[in-house]
Amino acid sequence: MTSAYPPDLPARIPTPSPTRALRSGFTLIEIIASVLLFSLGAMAVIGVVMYGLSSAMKAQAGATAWATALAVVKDPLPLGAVSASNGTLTPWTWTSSGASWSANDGSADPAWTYTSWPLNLASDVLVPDMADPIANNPAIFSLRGAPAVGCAHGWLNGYYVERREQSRASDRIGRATRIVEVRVDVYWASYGAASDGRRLATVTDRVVRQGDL
Amino acid sequence: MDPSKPGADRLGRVPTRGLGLTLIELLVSIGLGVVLVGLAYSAFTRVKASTERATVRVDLHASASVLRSHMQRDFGNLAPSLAFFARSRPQVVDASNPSRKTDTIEVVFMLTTAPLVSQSNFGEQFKSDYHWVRWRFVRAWRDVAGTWKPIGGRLYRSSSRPSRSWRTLSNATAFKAPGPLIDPVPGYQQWTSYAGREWFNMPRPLRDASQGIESLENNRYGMDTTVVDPTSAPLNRTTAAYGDIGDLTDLDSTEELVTDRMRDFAIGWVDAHGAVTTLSTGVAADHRIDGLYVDVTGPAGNPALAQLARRPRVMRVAFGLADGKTGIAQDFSFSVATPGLQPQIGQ
Repeated sequence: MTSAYPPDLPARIPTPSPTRALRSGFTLIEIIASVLLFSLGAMAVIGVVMYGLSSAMKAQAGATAWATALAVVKDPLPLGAVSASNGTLTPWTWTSSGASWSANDGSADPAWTYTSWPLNLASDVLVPDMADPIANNPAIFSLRGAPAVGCAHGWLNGYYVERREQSRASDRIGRATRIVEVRVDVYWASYGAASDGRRLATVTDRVVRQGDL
Repeated sequence: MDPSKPGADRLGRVPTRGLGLTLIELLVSIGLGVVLVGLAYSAFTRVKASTERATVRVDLHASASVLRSHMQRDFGNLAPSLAFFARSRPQVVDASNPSRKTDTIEVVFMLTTAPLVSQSNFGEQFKSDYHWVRWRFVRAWRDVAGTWKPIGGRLYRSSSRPSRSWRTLSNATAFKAPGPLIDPVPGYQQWTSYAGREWFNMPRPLRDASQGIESLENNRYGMDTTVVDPTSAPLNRTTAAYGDIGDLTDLDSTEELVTDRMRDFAIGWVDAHGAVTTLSTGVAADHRIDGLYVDVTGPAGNPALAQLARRPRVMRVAFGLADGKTGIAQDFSFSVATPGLQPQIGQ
């Protein structure tokens, strides 16, 4: 039996392993893998930061959304909206020397639209679907259309707001005084896609309204 | 070939390839690194900008929320029986600095709280607590090369101190002021016993608004603050010099900054009959609304329906907040109901 090794070499001389030599540097695969791993980690960190910020923003927005709903429950025409003869309101614009700006941040959408109704009306004034008018009556709450009688919608405080008001004949408690049921929904939505927005706050209330005595 | 060389295999070959990268690998690595660093830089830049925007937005909404809380507390407790003032003074040049001028809107009113003190079989006992409250918006302008430019707006709030000068008296009649707690109602009790002390409400409830905001400066004895003599002994003082400063002075001394990021401000109200009043910067206005007696007569005994119609039922505030560093701005509008029936709006 002959050895495969040269006869002048001992068969069991330990020789440095080639793999050990290879460890003195990184291979391309190792570099790519490391960079990708680092990238994944960085993206994860960024994702966590963004998620935290988004959560904080939505939590804070929830507070002002709730306040917005409470305000609109009592007031269908928040300050800034300008009434026109046809009941449709133009976007609010504040002007002063050297300053002019509007509430809708340049959007072409109307800032606020409101349709009133006479308090001394003897008959019912009912929204067709008080609970979910967007789904069942999209025409009533179309973004640019006039809302149902006694209702309002538009952009306020950075949110899309819908206000619905209804009153029955039996809610009349005087010649020009009646109880009205009010519901306000506040959405987190991008301009032009209110119906796809996430609802942040809903407030329902009953108020007693008084007309000109 | 020498198999004894370090790193050589059993045939004496040295694996030079494992000791580093080839030029192509090096270039690919560097290119990949540059691309990734570029992507990471872009991502971090966007994240930073997005973070700043989100932080500013949260901050603006937080400030708006605080303002709304003040609004709810103040206007939700607005006393209907006392005077209400609102005025706007646009573009007033600073006397000491002609290159600076200010827009000012201020609203002054009295709010009341009636905390429950005790309950018994005979009923509940409340103590009224009155404060004058002032909201004051000031926007400053600076003359820059002949053009007036806004340099920022601030909203201040102040509240008079109801117990700023009360003391224990052995003889309460010695401190019987000529003006009663609720304007001239003969025999009305001006003081009350609370926690073993005689408590006097120092802010002067004022029903007649015709003399304007400056009339608050008369203290509850009808005297201006110059007659105050803080050195005299309490029971030896005349009623005129008991030590009560004017309410306007008190409002000035208690004023606190609510926000310095308000670029514009407007305030208005809907009165009991649905009429709308709005004060905005740039338009001079002066509104003075009388308070009402509980029996619904006016300050001069006139029929009070006209006065009643003018009382605010819904207070409206709109304002714009802006971050000076990023320029990000958000407009807000809130409305709060004051005590009373809600009026029909916008018929």
